[in-house]
Amino acid sequence: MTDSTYWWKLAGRTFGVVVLLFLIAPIIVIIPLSLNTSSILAYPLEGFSLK
Amino acid sequence: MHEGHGAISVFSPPLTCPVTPAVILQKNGLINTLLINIGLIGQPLELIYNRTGVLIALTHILLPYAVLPILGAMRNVPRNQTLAANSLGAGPLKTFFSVYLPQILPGISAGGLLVFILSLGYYITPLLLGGEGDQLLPYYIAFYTTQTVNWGLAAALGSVLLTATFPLYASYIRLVGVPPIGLG
Repeated sequence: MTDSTYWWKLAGRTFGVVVLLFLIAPIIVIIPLSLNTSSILAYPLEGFSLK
Repeated sequence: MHEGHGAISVFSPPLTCPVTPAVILQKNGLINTLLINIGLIGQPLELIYNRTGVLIALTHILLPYAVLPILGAMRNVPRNQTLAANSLGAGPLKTFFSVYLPQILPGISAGGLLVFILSLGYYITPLLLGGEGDQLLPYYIAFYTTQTVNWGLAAALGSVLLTATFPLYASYIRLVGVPPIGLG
């Protein structure tokens, strides 16, 4: 494997990971908010509630 | 990492899609807090209730619909063709643009058309995340149907939307072959 091929592959992998993070991050972020005591959907979290 | 993980945003329900960008992008949301704490910006950025918010949210929702047709096209390109181009002396860029890209071009067109058709009808995301000038045609159809009871104009706008979608859908079917989702 030549050196340039390695860097192209690394760039492709990095781009893929960034895109996957962009897709998955909002879904991960919303999960703790569903257990928040505050009725407003905003960080920081205030307390734990199942309501 | 399995490539199906990216499709999870397809399966999240339609209302959570615009709500999550609202959490992240709002004035004291995660992105602004992070950037201010790092020190990159002094003032919070205006990321929501304007065109930027709509673009980010629609990209987030519709990206898998573009990726999956392109992925299908990329899967169909034989690996040994790019290897052959490499062994015949083409560099990575040359191989990509003259061997790989022409073969996945139908997939890219299909993905783009699919996303365009889907985004034509998006109602709730621009409504929740957009500003004054970012509302799409479905908003006006709903407005003329429910607010000012002007059903003629609403019907006319609906017909415009439908007739604009038909040629796009026809070209999508020409590109993809058969419709991927059928009733029978």
